[in-house]
Amino acid sequence: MKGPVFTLKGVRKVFRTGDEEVKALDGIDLEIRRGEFVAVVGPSGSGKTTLLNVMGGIERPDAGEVWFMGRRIDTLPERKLSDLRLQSMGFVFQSHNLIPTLTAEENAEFVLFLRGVPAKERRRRVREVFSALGIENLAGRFPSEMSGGQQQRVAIARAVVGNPAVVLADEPTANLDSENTVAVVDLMLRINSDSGTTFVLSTHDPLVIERAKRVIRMRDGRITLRR
Amino acid sequence: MMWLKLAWRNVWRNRLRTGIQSLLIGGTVYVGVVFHNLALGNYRNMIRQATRMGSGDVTIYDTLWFSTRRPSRFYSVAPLRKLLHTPEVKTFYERLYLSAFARVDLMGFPVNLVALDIRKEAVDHPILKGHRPDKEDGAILGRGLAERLHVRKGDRITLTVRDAKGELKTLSFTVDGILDVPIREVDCCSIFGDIGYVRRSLRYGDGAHEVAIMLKGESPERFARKVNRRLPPNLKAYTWREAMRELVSAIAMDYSGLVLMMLFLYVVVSIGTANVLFMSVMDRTREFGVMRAMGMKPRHISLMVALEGLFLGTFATAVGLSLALLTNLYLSTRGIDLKAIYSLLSQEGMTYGGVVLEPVIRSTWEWKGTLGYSLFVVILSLLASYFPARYISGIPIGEALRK
Repeated sequence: MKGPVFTLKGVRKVFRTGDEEVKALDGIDLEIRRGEFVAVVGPSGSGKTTLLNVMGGIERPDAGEVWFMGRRIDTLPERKLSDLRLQSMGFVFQSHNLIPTLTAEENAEFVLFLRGVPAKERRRRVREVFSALGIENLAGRFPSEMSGGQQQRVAIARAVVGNPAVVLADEPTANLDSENTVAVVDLMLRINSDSGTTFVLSTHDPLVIERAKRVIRMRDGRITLRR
Repeated sequence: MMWLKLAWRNVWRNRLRTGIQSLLIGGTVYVGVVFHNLALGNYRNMIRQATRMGSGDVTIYDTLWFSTRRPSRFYSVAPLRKLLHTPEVKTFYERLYLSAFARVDLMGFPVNLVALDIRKEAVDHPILKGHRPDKEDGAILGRGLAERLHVRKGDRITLTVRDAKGELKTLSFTVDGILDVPIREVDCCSIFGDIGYVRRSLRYGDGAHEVAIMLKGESPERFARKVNRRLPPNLKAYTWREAMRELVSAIAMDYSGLVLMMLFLYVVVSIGTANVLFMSVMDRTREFGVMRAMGMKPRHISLMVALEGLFLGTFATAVGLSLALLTNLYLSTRGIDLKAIYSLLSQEGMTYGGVVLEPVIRSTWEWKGTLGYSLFVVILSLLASYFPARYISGIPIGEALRK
């Protein structure tokens, strides 16, 4: 049996704006195993993004524990969390994912650059991934020269180019039409099955939900259904 | 390389904003470099004028001359000839300064009699330039004095003056030239006469109160030290800085004003640069959030913003400096003719620190200051990135991603 990538125990997160308190996560217990393709679904404000951010060490929970590959990460200092994200996680966001002043190839290269991979090796690996994902033709384009679907494909390429253990994707298809949505999800599924990379994505798109291997439904910061 | 590429492209994301700020930074460098070289060119001109008119690069005086100004503090020039005929010396001028009394009809005026080799000094003396008296007893005086004495060219004037032994003597001159001099002391009260004639008439032998030495390019300080080792104890060689303290103070005060003004301007422009970088990073808060989520560390963000400040400053400085050098090339060869402005302010001309100013100001090439001003702006641009970098790298990632 594959071990867990993420283990969340009693995770709570509250956002305060003035006197108002919003419980974004309200006692989440969750385990995600290696190689899973998980869709976190639910209406806006249900806590999907916060859950992904807490899993990725972007936000710290107010209570509870977050474990990543057998290591507790919610107490790690920011510097170590940055290293962890850089070495073991890939991220895809809903929009404005790419650095606008870098080409698609340079965007994908950037993660490897931060890891200190030599330039020649970086370019080789990026070309390999672009070729595998069928987006070689986008290599020299700047984000402003690409459609939303193309940008998300490049963002996925950037997320997986460093062979991370997990890719966290926050509504990666929210701004895409159905054709592009299917293409992007299929791409992630292919990577998941080919390389065994774990995918956790938040969505409320039925096209994504029906393709996911596991679905977690959220409402008001709680998990209401696991499938 | 990636950092440099990223920073350079980020600088040009908002071309209008970068363009305007580059104009401001470049303009500051331009003003700094042009005014620095123009001011130094002007000071050099003033010093040149002052040394030709008065102290020379190095001057030899009796050690009590400055404190007493007594005519008796003259010295024989003959023993110094060996010192004065060395390769470093371009030329030297012997002068006597005497107090006299000019009498016309029933009126009398105290005057200063300056005895010098008019023919020799007329080559480049700022006041006497071009005046070559035909006769040995020819004298040149200021217009103010000529009017007071009611004399014209060709008239005779008689001075009562003490000779080298302290006895009162009468000395006659023929007015050979009348000067329009903007220096009040010269205009109202000075008479320039031939040193040979004065020495013979007043029994001064080869005596002088002052030997002003013009050097070929040797440092005045070094030359003065060398000469002082060989001079008798009653004589001392002074550099022009020591001999003309007023001028040195006037230049120092003027240059301090310029430096303070430039400093103020640079600080204001640096605040503008910091503001531009602030706006630039705030526009990209989410982007920085994405980068941090990917694993970029706060120090990387700081490095990137610092590079953006450095690029902005370097680019703008390069443009400003290039234009400043072109302007300086023009100003150093053609100069600025201020005759019109001078004539509006004064009929005779302008003086500063007791020196007659030449109406055409030419700038110089002073590389230390030129590069110093430019480098200072680049460093300030780099420093201006500190607060924007600190601000943006301090925003929590989750908060940045929500922007």
